[in-house]
Amino acid sequence: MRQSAGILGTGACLPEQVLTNLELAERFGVTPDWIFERTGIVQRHIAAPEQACSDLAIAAARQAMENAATAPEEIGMVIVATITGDYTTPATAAIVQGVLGIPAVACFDLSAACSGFVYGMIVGSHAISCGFCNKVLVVGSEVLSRFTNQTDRDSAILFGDGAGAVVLGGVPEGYGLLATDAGTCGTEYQAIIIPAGGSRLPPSAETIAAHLHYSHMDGNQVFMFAMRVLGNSTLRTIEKAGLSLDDISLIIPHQANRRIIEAAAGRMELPLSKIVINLEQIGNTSSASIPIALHGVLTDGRIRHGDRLVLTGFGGGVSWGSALIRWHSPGSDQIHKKEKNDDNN
Amino acid sequence: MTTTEKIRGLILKVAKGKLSQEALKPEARLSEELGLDSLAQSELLVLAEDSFGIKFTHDEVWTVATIGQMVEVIDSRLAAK
Repeated sequence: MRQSAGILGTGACLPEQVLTNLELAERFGVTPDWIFERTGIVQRHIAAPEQACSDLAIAAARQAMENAATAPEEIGMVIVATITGDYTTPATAAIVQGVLGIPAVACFDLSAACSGFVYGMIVGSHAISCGFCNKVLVVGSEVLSRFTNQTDRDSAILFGDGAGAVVLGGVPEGYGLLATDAGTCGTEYQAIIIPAGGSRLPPSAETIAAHLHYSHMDGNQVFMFAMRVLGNSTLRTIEKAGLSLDDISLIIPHQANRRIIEAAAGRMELPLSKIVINLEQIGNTSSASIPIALHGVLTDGRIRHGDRLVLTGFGGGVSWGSALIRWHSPGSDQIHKKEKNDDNN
Repeated sequence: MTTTEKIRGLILKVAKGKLSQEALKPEARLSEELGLDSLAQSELLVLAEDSFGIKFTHDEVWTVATIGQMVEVIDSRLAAK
């Protein structure tokens, strides 16, 4: 029988420095409310000059391993979902492995933009289910501020830096990842793109002068894609599990923009009360947004043993990925720790 | 229900109570006169796609500026079906 795989522990890391709407409003000649109305964001975290993608990933991973009561030598695979890794090569996952003292196991980065973390969950859970390894560290980590043109209003108001991580491991049958849905529509690949720096357009003085090493986005195209796919993929995943929306406790979407999430929810009649939104204080952190939000609701005690959650990512590619998880309270007992604290207060 | 009536209903939904029926004249510009920002216009287009069972082309997304133009595009698409 195949081993079921689920989340044993979570962690997150947000850089200390924040960039507020007030600062951006002054820069772009708009009001803080104008930014909030269009994004649902009040502030974003920005990495310090000496912080790179692996630094945030390592901090989040350490916390996830601690919460999962997992020693480095137990990890059998490291996946870092990112589009802003430390280097083109080596993989940021290799740096994470070396620093954390994880044994000589498979370590690789996964490039699927804002869907990347869910893709990592799917790959990691299958590695466990098929017996390739027992535990997988999956991290979503981004330093988007280095790839955001801070003079371009539409980009600068959205993106922030951060990392989230989970340790995947075996859980009893009927728990963990119950169903998944993923896809890509590559004919629309130009909707979100960093044009220069790869083999198509190697970096040069000209590409830098033209700001082609920053992310570029067709806002309308992305909004329409995201509005369609968020609900469609969520409902498809629920259906694959043979469940209905009533069986789901929480939906954790990629934190792209509050307007996208609300429009998608309205279109599919998904109740907003079940949708986790933490954009206000964090902004859009691409592949890191889902694990950061998951860690937040878990430590807030909003997830209990047996709850069913849907994680749903969408973004560059254009791609999407969703996973339905039936929560199994892990050995680290984050939930029980929180309950104990609540009892003591 | 006519295409125009359906579109008016969708605009009221997207505007979340900020507009009245009287403002929704065929020549009304979605942005300047009705005050729908680019995100609200994108939302309207997706709801219209769902409602009429069509998909707007990339060019149409950029050229539809008034209620009348949107109705025209949708009616020509429906006629071609």
